[in-house]
Amino acid sequence: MPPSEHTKTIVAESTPPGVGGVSLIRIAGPDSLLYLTKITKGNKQNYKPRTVYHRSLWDSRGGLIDRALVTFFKKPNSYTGENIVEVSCHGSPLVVTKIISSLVSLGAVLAEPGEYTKRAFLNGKLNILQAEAVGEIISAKTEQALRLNLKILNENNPKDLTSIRSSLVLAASNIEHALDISDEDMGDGFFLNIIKSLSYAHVKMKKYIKNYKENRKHLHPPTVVLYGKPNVGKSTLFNAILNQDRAITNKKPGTTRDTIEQEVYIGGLCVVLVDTAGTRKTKNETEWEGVRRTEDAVLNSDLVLHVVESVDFIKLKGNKIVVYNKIDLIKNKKTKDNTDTLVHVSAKERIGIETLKEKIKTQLLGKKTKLGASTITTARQLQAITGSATYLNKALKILNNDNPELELVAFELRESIEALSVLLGKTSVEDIMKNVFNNFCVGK
Amino acid sequence: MKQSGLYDVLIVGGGHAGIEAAIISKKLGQKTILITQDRSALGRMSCNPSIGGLAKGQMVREMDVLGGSMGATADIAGLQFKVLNKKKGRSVWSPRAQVDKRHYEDLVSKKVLRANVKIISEEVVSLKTAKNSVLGVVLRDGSFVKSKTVILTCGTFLNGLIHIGERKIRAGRMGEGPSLGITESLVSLGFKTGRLKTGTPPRLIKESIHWGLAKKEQGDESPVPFSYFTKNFSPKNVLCHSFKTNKKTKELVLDKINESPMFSGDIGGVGPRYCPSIEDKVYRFDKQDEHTLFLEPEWLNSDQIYVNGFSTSLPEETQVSALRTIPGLESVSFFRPGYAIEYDFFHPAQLKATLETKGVSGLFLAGQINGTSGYEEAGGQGLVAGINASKKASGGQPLVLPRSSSYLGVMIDDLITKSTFEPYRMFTSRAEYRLLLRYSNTEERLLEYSKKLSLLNKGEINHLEKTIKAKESLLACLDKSVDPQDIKKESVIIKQKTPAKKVLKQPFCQISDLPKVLFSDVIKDFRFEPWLLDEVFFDTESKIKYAGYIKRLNAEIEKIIQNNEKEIPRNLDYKKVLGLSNEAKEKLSYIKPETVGQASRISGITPADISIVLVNIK
Repeated sequence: MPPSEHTKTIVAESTPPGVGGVSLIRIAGPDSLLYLTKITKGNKQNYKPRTVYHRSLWDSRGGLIDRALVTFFKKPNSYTGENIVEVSCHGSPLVVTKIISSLVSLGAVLAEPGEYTKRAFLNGKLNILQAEAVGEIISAKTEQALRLNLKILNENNPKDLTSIRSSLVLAASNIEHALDISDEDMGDGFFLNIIKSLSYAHVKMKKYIKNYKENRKHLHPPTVVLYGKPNVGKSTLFNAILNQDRAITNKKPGTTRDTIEQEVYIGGLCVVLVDTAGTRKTKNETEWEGVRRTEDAVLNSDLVLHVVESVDFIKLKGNKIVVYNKIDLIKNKKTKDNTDTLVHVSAKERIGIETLKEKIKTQLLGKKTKLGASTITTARQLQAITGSATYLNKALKILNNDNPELELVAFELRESIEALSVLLGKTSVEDIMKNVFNNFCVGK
Repeated sequence: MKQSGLYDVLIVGGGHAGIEAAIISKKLGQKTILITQDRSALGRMSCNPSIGGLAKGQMVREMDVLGGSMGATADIAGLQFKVLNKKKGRSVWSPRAQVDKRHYEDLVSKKVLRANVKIISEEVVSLKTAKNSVLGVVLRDGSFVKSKTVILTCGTFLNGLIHIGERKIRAGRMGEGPSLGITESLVSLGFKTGRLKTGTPPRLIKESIHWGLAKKEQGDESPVPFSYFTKNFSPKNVLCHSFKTNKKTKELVLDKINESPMFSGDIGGVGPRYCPSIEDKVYRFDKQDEHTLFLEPEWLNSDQIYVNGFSTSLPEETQVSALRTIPGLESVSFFRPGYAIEYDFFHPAQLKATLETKGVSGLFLAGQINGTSGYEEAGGQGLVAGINASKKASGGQPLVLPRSSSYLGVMIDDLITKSTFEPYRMFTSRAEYRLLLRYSNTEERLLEYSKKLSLLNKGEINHLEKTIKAKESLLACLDKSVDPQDIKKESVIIKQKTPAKKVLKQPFCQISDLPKVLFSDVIKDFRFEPWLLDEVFFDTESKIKYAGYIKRLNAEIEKIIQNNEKEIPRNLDYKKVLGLSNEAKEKLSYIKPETVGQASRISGITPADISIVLVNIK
């Protein structure tokens, strides 16, 4: 990726908009230091890079806006590789707006979503995988997602993928050499070597795909659906797990008509908990629609909490935990033992809720929390690596024939390398840029 | 100042590019003149005694369909014919011939004479232009030759400098003086020039070699000619020989490597990586002790032997002692040593796809002057330049070959789009549509161009249309089904009645394994010579076996074509285009692509840059 020159200096608030303790404004581009000196009525020499200064900020008419902490990062040692100024001001939307409009009146341009990371990528500060990782870190809902993406961000050079690509390029060059230059016949050793290195690359790619599929549940919050007959206490249990009064509860059966979703952390794992309408035969149109939605939710869930209030005959099918509710009503208080798929609780009295949470977590993680070493985290990455592996597989198939047509092998290999290059951002296809940077919010 | 009449096409240089340009210009009815320093050296094969080879053989075929002469000449002068790469997949099969150099030169001279091209033996010293248009050339004696168009095909003669060890000789080829003046004339017109290097191996005395120790190299039993129009093809099949270098050779060359001007830094020009000198080979592939040397006769029963694989600029004594380490060559002696030659070339980014220069209207450059190496590359450019100069002079549509049409198209696009810093040689891997560019379907790819531009006569067109038709008929015949008991070959297995096309997809199945009744009509109707019938079969098989790939590539071509032909105005000032990166501005300003397609093929130009360019030319 060639370093590309950005003539515009951009500005945006990097912290979420709204009232807070501190807001961070980031200015990036060739004129950022100039704007800083103007807005602080100072000299350029006043700002040593990577040093925090406490300064007054002034608008163009000489009015005081705020007292703030300012830091100058000299290129190329900054996030985007350009001159950057960071202003930590008081967390008031009014102050932030005033600072940004002063900067705009000086000539700064409002940054587009993801533009800082895009510049970092274009200036070679981040590779494409790292740039994507930044986006994923910002939106990470699970600790695992955070860890995986931080791991990618820490790898300056995705060594494994780069080495897979290099081995494909090497094999392709050897084949082209055989096709174009060598007057001599290739011995068995030639084919064995190529098949060996390509098979190894293929195995490594498949490992990436497998790990992605295993890691996926850690990357996106799984859905846990409360299911059961009306009035078994699903909404009460819902509130108990959330530890807040989210859903309306009532003694009357059929209170919940629509599904309600809420994100909740269960032992460090982010899950989407879904309360549903109780299932029963009904002629009421609204309730009937509610039941239909319940069925949808169950179908799309990662785990179902089947809530019961009596020992019905329950078929255990799919990923399910049976939750025996209302144990507070049982006279002799002698509850049965809990198992992995059966938990006794009282939603109303908040008995057994922690045990239930543990079981939920265990079920969702399938007792395996170790993350694969070969890591990709987005669907785009999966698609690229799957495509590359498919072409590579075709190449290997041809190579395993007697008298393989080398130029066909070369053709498939080129496609395979191309797919992998897209993944590594080696070819600058605008699509990559779009996909990668459009999902960012402003200021990142 | 003396002045002659007005010519349509004036060609400077009588090498492979020059003669193709001259013959086709004459064929197209142009008043043509060829100026060369030595008229006895027309079509001289200054290096290897062979034509064709990997990717080059395909180009010779392409020239044949576009009215070129190299293939037909080689078919007559050939001593041994062999299709290379036969073990590697059918689209990279490449015809090659060992050629009798003297016979070849003799045939070329006669052809040029027969074509009635005016030839004068003079040295051109400068170019005359007015208002960025060419007017003609000035000769050493000061006289001026006027022409509507000028094609420069000066080969390695521009400020040529030969190196043998530390010896330096100013020359165009061994024994021929260099051309001085043309470079300076072009530079004064604003052209950018550079220096390149190429080499040639020593020539050995036949009697000094113990032939009994050599490995014998046979030609094909059923030889294939280059030209579709060659009749009664039954060439000689002269035996060739090869030797292998060994550890001692390597050690000796490594020991003396600093005597080679390439290593001592005496040669500024950059040499080709792929036709490396022996000192390059032992240095770069230091794990490899053996390199094959082919000992080829320069002409029939020649007493001079060309050592293919031993190009060098080492001192003569070192060349001799290195070769004498090889069993069989212990007492070898030389006719003349190998040498390296350094010469001026002009960066081909200054050319349009027609090979006309962007800076001077009517001036065309072809051959080694554009930084290529090889007879076939030179001949191909000469042919295209000759066609386009003729069309320029007479006001017709030019010939621009897309990359998907031919190796010639790939070569010219590469030359004008990619900066070459070493001599450009054609390879099959340069062609992204390699699977479509088979030597066996050349007529299908290029006949339409020939018809449109009148490059062939009626009889020739009929002949090529016949082969195309034969292939179509054969393909139609193969829709019929075959019974299992009708297939005699053991490696081809079918369980029930199966369409012939499907059977042919099996790796070892050829059309000749199928029952003859399927296609006996085709054989009867067309009556081709055996080699051509074989080729019709072979290419039809290729189409069936590679059908999936051909479909994928055609879809790709379809997709690319849409924007590709959109022209970019020459006066577009990239420096003022907002949003382009500095790198893009620099490259686009340097190459000044003619079309959006060409711009997109420049390395480092992104699709984003292309969108910005598109916005600016609307």
